[in-house]
Amino acid sequence: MNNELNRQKAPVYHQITKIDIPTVESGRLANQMPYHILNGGSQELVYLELKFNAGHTYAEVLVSTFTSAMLVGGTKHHNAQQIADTFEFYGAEVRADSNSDHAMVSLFCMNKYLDKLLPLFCELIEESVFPESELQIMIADRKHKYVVNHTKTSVLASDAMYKMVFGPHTYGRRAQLSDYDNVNSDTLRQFYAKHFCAANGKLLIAGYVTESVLRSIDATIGQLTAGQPVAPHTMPIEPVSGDKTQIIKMTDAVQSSLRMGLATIRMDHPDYHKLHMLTMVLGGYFGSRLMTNIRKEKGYTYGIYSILFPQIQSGLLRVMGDIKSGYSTQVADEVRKEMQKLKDQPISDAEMALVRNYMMGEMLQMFDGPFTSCDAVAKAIDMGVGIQYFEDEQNSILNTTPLELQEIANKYFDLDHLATAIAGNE
Amino acid sequence: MILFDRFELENGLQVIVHQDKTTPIVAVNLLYKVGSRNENPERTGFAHLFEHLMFDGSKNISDFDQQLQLAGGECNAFTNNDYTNYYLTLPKQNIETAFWLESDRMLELGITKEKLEIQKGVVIEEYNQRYLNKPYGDWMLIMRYLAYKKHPYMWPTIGKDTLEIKYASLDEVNSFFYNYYAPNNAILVVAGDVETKQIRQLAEKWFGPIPRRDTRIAPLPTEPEQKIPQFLLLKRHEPLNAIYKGFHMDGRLGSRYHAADLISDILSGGESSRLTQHLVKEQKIFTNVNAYITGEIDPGLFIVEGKLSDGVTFAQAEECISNELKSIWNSPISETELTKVKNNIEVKKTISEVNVLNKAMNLAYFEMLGDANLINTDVDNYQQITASDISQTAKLLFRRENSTTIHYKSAQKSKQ
Repeated sequence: MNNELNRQKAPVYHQITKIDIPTVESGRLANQMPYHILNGGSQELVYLELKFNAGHTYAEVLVSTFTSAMLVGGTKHHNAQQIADTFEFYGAEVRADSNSDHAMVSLFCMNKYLDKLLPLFCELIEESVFPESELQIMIADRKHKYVVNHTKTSVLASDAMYKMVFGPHTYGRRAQLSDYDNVNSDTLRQFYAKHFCAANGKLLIAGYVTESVLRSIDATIGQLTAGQPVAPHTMPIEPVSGDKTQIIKMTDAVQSSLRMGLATIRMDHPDYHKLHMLTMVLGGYFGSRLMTNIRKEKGYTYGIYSILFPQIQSGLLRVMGDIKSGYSTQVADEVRKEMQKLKDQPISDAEMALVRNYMMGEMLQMFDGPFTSCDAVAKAIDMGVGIQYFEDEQNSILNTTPLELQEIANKYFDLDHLATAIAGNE
Repeated sequence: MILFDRFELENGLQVIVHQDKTTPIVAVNLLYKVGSRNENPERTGFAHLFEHLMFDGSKNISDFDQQLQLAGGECNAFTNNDYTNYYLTLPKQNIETAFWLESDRMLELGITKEKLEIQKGVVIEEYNQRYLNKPYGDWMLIMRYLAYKKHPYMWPTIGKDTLEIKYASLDEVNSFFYNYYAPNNAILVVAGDVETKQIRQLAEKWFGPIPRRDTRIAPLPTEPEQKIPQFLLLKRHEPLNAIYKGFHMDGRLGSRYHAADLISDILSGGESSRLTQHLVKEQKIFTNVNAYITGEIDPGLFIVEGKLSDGVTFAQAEECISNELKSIWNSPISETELTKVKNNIEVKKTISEVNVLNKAMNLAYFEMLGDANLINTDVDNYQQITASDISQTAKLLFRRENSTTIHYKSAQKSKQ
């Protein structure tokens, strides 16, 4: 037997060609609210996420933000402190938040405490009262955060990029400091009454979901008022016109933030999987083109990434990095060059194999238990593509060719409409 | 209960195996017992710079990340004051790739001068991104400098400033490597659907041939007891007034560590906690306030920090904090409050057992502390804390002479 170890030669690795996508059990609660169950895990933990069609798109600026955040501010039967005391006594986590498309409220707790917590959780959704005193405390806090955030290059560059990409669409809207003074509890109450109801929402249940968990949920969340569904305010998204580059001068900054963006296809588009793969090649992992060029070869950044961000009315291709002062214009040019290269030449088979294996590994890791995958599964449900998305994604990863990726680059890397925002001492 | 097997190779590498048959993923965690506390005081930030270099190619493998990605894996690493931790996850079929990669970079690095220069640039940008290019980003750098007089916790892991990173030479990189990155200074943990026998074979095959090294690890100075409160007023272009306070506390194995940790939860664990309820909601002194511990192995710091509400003076804010801290030792905490923070410890433990990587990291960490089985038993140290432990610990902790305080006074920028 030869014991000499050859360290130059990689051990044989096995290609992953099949990932077990978990099944999602879907149905309706007593009040007809749709639910989706992502079952699994060996710890007795359960995560509930209620989502309503009540994101920023559905109202004036900040209304959705404060309505969600104020759900823990007081109900008909419990004040804010009692609410916090009850959930936190059992080590449960309640989060209320909103994004462009949805408002959501979630509960993460141990199974053994679920029955103790569900009635109060339902109160938040049906019987919140939006006390003025709590609202004022929250406004003061959010204003402080706003002021702090708006001294950051990352926030200023990102805001500018969104405004350029989405123009007058609500996706591009950003709050001003003065908007916080116009938030009032009556508006929030009206928004709440109309949007936070069973017919306008859906529920994701993830974790150790037994029959008794579902029964408890049906006896509580399933009894919430049905109400009416609300349609989103839709608006066409025009390609960026006029100036596509904006530089925000910040003389004190020791680094510059670069944010680039391009409105693109939605998740239900048949090309989405391939565009996702292409975005991965560009800047989606450590071995990507952008990381290799800007970090590994030049040392101009700690990290530069590209991601494909799905939203109901439009996808967004986003590039972001915090760059050594004085170099961000050059780096923006390098990003365009890298995108152009992907349009001009097909990627090599070796790089194709690399990104394919990486993506399969990433997906395998994502489906390691209900809590690592529930964000992605929820996103697929929200975007209307469902769990089938992941089967299709798998097929696409395994079968897409370099020429097809090049075709996709030519179709979607529309450099004429790529918006670039830089904040820093440039 | 997390079950595991433990063995040691002849070269001193400690190996722990935890079997979890429920997952297709295997986690491999390699902890080196070196952190920024082991640095030369004139080369602070070195341990962390070194962590970056570990991804820049080793003797036989030019591109670590690429090889791992080909096997469908992901990796990362972090450095703190106490240790440096490398971790990766990959499909269980490809576990041998992890052994190949990790053992080669323990054997010998492939650093060149050019690679070193580029990584210095990356680390300096990381320094800028995390600590300088955001308001209050440097508070911990200043806090450490004020609070420690002898112990190397006086500098942050990222380094005192970027200049010392710039001066690091290739010779220093090599001597650091041979002194600290030795099998006899490391702990390897594998968690996933694996058998101990299989892991033993792989460990012996790949790590076994690496020679034991003659490591010289200098004993660390003990920080003398702080006798005088430390204070610094900073006038900055930061947008709001802010207070940061640090109190010296026990190290990770100290008898009062767990009580101090629970005190931080009582003060600031969630919306129902005392500081939020009293100082944000009722008295409106702060818009945001937090308390937490740095959690290091040697005696660390208990931090209280907050952003002052408009119109509140530093004196008022200080007095309110002081009253809250005093009330922890003046009046015993209620059974409900104590149960709440203990329930939270139970939930955190349950959550920490959900995924294999987390379990692998925790096993390595506790083994470094002295016994991997602390992963199962450390929670008892929390459950045994009584109301009187809490008040006694608070009384020692929150003495004025034990405190270090930084005030950031917001100075308005002149309009340009």
